[in-house]
Amino acid sequence: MSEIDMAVIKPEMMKPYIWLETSDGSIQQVEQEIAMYCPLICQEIIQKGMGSSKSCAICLPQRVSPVTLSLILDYCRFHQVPGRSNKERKSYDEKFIRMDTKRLCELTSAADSLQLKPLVDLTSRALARIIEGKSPEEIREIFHLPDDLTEEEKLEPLKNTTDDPRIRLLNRLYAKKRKELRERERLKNVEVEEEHVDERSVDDLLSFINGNDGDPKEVKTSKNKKKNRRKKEQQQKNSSLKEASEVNKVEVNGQSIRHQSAEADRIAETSNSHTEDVFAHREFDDGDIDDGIDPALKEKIDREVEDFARRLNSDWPERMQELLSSGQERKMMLFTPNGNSFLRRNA
Amino acid sequence: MPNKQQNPKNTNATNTTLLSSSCLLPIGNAKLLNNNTTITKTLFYSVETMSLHPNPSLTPPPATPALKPWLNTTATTEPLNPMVLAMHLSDPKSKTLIPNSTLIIMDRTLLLSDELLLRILSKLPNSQQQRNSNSLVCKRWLNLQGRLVRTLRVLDWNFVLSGRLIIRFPNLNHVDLVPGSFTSSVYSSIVVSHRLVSMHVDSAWRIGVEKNLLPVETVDAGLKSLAGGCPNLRKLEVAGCSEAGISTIGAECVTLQELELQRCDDAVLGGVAGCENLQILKIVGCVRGFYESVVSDIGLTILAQGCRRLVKLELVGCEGSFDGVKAIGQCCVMLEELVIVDHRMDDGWLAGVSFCENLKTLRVQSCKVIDGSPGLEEHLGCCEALERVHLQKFQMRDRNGVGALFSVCRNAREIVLQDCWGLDDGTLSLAVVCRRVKLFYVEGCSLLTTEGLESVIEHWKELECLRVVSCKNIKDSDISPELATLFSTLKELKWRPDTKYLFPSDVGVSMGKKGGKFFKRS
Repeated sequence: MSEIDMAVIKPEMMKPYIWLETSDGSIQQVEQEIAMYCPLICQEIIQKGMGSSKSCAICLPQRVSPVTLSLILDYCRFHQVPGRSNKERKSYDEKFIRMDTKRLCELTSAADSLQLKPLVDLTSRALARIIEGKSPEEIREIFHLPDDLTEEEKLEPLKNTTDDPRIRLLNRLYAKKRKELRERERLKNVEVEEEHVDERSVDDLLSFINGNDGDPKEVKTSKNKKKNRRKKEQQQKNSSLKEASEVNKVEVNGQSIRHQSAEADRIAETSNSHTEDVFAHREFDDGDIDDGIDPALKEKIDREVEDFARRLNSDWPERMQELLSSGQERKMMLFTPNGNSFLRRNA
Repeated sequence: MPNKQQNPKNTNATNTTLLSSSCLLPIGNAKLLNNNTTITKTLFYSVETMSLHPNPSLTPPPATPALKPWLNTTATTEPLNPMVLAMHLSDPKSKTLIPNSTLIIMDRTLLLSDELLLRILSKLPNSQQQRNSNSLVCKRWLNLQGRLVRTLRVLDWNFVLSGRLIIRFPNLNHVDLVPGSFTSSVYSSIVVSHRLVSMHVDSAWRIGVEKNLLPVETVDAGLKSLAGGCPNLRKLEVAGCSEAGISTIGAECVTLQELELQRCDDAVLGGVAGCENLQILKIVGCVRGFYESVVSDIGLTILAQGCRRLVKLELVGCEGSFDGVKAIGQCCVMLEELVIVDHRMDDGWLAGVSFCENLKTLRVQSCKVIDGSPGLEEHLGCCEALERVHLQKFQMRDRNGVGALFSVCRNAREIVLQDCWGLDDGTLSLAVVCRRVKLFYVEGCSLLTTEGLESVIEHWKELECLRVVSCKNIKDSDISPELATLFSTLKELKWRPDTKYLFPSDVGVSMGKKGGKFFKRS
C-alpha cells in the first residue's frame, strides 16, 4: 500500500502542466504556475479539478482564440515572475500593447472573460488612447462601426456653451483680439503699399504729404528730400521742381526756427520721453496679452512687438541724422565736414 | 437596448448564412456520406440543408432557428466535440475562410461588452469635443456615452418634455433646469443677466413683465418626466414649478439631497416637505424685475415641519417674520448654516435666529436693512453654538439692527465684514459684545478709521488673526504704539488697508520686466 501511494504521488508532483482547450477545439499544454495567474483558470483548477489531463481539459470562453491565448500567456509569463521592477513591467506593457486595433479588441475581450483585470486595464487605456482626439468619422473607420445614427439624432441639441456668461466674456475678448490683429495686418499692408508707391509724380507726393498724418508725413518728407538732392546734383530745373524747392525752403525755415529755439539736450529729452511712452504703451499691451487666454494669439502679438522694435531701431539713426542735418542752413547741408563739426560742438 | 444590440448580430448572422451558403457546398457532399450520425447531428445538417436553398421568402425564418440549435449545442459541451472534429477533418480550408471573411466585415467593438466599452470611454478625457465625437459615432456609442453623463444643464425645455432627456442620459444625478425654465427668443442676441437668472430677450421685453416665464403646468410636466427617468437624482435646480411637481420629485427621487427652487411661494414649499432626505435647500422668492413670488411665515413653517434634516438653508428675497424663523429653528435641529440674501422680512425676525440651537454659520448678504425694530435686548436671545458671522454687501447704517445682530452672535469666533457700506467707528463699536472673536476680517469698509478699529480690537483678548484689506480711511500713520504692540501678539496679520500700494508695485515689476525683455530683443 505504501508503495502504491508513493507511485501515485510521484506523477502528480512531476506534472506542472495543465491542459487548456480553446474555442476552436485545439488543446494545448501550459505551465501550471503561468496559467494560475488567470483568476478563471485558477478557479477551474482549484474548485473543479479540471485541466490535469487531456481528456478533461479546461474549456476556455468563446472569446479566447489560440492567438489571443498565446498573447495572454506571454503576458502572464512575464508578470508572474517575482522580483521584476515596476519600470521593467511598464516597459514590457508598453511594448506588449503595440498591435493593431482588431487584435487589441480581441485581447481586451479575452482578458475580460478570463477576469484578468490588470490586462483589461492596460488594454482599455490603450484603446482609450486610440480613440482620444479623433473625429466621429475617424473612430468609425478605425473600429469598422456602422453609421446608424439618423440625421435627427445627430442634430439633437448638444451643450450650448455661449449661454455661460463667462464663455460669452471669453468670446468677446477673443473677438477683440482678432479685431486688433486684423487692424495691425491692415496697417502693415498700407505700409507695404506706400513703399511700392515710389514712382508717382511730385504732385502726387505733395498731395500725400498734405493728406497724411505725422509718421507717414515724415516718411514722405524724407523721400522727397532725397529726390530733391539728387536732382540738385544733376542741376536740372523745372517749374515743378521750383515749386517743390520753394515748399522745401519753407519747411527748412520752419525747422531751423524750431531748432534755434530748442537746445540739443531738449531734443534728446524729447526723444527719450517719446521712447519711454512707446515702451509704456507696449508694456500695457503686453500686460493685456499676458492676461489673455490663447497662447497662439500671445505669440502673434509678441512677434509684432519684435517687428516693431526692429523697425524702430533701424529707423532711429536716420531720424537722428535728419533732425540734426535739418537744423543746418541750406548751404551747410551740402558739406559733410560741417555736420561733423556740428556734432562735435554739441558734444 | 437588447433589441438594438441584437440588430447588428442578426445582420452578421445573415451575412454568415449567405457566406456559408456560397462557401460550404463541399460540406453538403460530406453530409451525405454521414447520414448515419446521431439526431443532434441531423438537426445541425438540416439547418444547413435549408440554407442551401436560398429563397427570398424563406430567408428570414431560417435565421432565427439557426441561432437556437447552435446555442443548445453550446450548452451541452459533449456533443459539440465530435461535430467540431468532424467539420474540421472534413474541410479545413473552407472552415478557415469563413472566420476571416466575417471578421473583416464585423464591427470590431462587438467583442467588447457594454461594461467594457463603458470602462474604455470613461478613461477618455472629459472634454466637450471628445464627448461630442464619441456621441456621434454610432447608436451604441451614443447610448453608452450618455450613460457616462452625470451632470446636465438644460437649455431647451422641450428636451425634457419629449422624454429624450431620459433616453439620452439615464444616469443623471445633478440636473439644472433653471436656464430652460425661461422662454428665450432663440433668434435674439440681447441677453439680460442677473446674479441668478440669465436669458435671451427680444427688443420688446421690459423689466417687470413676467412674460418670459414658462407656465406652471409645463414645468410640472417636465418634472414628472424627469422624476420618472432619474431615480438617483441628488441635486436639482428648478424654477416656476408647483406643489404637485415638486411632490412628484420628492416621491420618486428618494435620494434627493440638494434643491434650489426659484419662483418659490408658500404652496410650493408644501411639496418640498415631501423630500424627506433633503439637506441643502435654497429658496428664491423674489428677484426684482424678473418675478415676484412670496415666501411667508406659512411657507417657512410648512417647510420646517417637513424637512427636519436640513443642514443648510438659504433664503433669497423671502418674506417672513419672527414666527417663521422660530419654526425653522425649533424643527430643524440639525441646521448648521443659515444664509439670508436680500431679505424682505418683517421687523423683529432677528430674535427668531436664537432658536437655531446648532447654528454654526450665519451669512447675511445684500441686505438693505437688518431689522428695523429688533425689540428689547433681553428678548433677543443668543445662538450658543454660533462660530462664524459673515456680512457681505451689506448696508450697516441701521445701528439698532447692527447692535441686535452682534448681540445674537455674541459667541462668534470669526467675524467677516466684506463691502459693508455705512460701517463707521460708532457702528463697529457695537461689536464689542462679541467677546470670543479669534478671527476678524474686514474688507472694503471705507468709512472705518484706525482709531475705531483699535477701540474694538483692544477688547478682544482672544484675537489671533486680523485681516484688513482695502479700507481707505485706515492709515499707517495713525497706528498707535498700543496697536503696534497688539499686532506683535497676533498669529496672523494681513495689513493692506490702502489699495494704492498694490498698483505701483505691480506696474513697476511688469515695467521693469518688459523693459529688459524689450532691450534684449532689440
